[in-house]
Amino acid sequence: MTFTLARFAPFLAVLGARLIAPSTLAAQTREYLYLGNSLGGDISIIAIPSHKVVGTIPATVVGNHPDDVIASRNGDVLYISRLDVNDVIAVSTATEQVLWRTEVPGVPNHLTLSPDEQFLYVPIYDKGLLAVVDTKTHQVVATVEVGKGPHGTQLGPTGKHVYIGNMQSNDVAVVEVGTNRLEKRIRLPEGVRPFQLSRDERYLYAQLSKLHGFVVVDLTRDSVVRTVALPTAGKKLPEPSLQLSHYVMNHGLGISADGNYLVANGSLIRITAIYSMPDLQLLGTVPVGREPNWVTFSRDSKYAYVSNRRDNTLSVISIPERKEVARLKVGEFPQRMTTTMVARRPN
Amino acid sequence: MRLAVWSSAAASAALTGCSSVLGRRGGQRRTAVGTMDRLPPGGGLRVSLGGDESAIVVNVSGTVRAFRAVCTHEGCPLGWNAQQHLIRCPCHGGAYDTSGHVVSGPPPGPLTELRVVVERGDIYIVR
Repeated sequence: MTFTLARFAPFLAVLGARLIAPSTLAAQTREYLYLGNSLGGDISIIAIPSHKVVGTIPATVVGNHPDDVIASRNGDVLYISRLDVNDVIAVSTATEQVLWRTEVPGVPNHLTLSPDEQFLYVPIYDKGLLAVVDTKTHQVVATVEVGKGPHGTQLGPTGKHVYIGNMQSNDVAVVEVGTNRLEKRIRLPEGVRPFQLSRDERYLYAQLSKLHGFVVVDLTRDSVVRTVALPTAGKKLPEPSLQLSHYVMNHGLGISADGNYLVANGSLIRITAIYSMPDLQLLGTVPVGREPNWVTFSRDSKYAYVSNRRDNTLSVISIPERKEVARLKVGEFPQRMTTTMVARRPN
Repeated sequence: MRLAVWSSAAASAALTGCSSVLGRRGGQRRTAVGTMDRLPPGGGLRVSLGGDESAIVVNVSGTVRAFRAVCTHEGCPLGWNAQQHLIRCPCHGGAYDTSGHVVSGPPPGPLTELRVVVERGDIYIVR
């Protein structure tokens, strides 16, 4: 009997591994937040929901002042734009090493992916361009003139359009996915900072350079239909100035994954505000660190994360409790970040 | 004797973040930001001046210069890119050379230069 089992052991082992592997892998898949520390040049890795800093992708791998960090939908790849060297790098979350690098024709800002993830859209801030990078060939396959100071990008939820916020020409450019054709530019009152889109892609919510709040743009009319003033939490609003090291009123606006909440930073007065969607009722105001810069969410929409770039911290906001439940020390000048499910990290 | 005290304190100040304010001379404040052995010709460092203030100190062929590490575009703190020998902004990609002049990007003007004193290999910023 023993002999028989021993004889079949290799086959049983393979069979067992095949049966166990999928569930084991699924069990190992965990949610992480990847936060780019723009001055430090590294990426802090935070486990969700324990909210512990569990690792760092060092500046020797990233460096050169990373601007944005986004993830592929399966969590295997991080795409990072780097200001100093005008490029985008792809980094494996499994090895935390660079997979490939593509130079772009100027200073790259906030990134987004096409619906099929074949194309990475890279706004080129100093050239007024949207560069389209093929993630398979690692080449810039198209450039589109979109306006002055393209800063942020968002893929519309319908997957048909890429929206580009222009800081200097005060408008939002709309580019058709697939053809890379500029469809239109929607005029806004000021420079466009972080923005989001409603799930039905009818409304665009945008922070503007000198507005303490955000505007709601009706995309069927291409006009601002509402201006939402952010609360001041009893604080006097300072004038934006170089001395404050922040020449915009607010930076950081996000919509939760379930579509029920919009969170907007009040960067000059160190708050973040939580609104219900779609009615935009103020649910709460949460004190955070200095110069909150970006907002992202856990997959279950229970937590919002706010990077406080002057404090080198990350605020963890409980959405149901409307309060900060943790503040984590991260790297130097933390700005953009993303959350994603990751199957495997380095040991 | 006073110089010796400054030197000792300066030597203990790490260039990568620490600083020590070492008193005033004629109403000017001197801040020790490190030592020359950490700043070879062609090198540059980002140093803290205390609080939120920081500076970029560069060694240009033996001449030490320092600039307020605040971008003239939107006021973001600046970093030193050792490979490029440029002062860089982590917000919108502005670049300054070791004279504080804009090389590329959106900054509208040059950096504010700070007065530097080097004594016995110790570097001080005087304000």
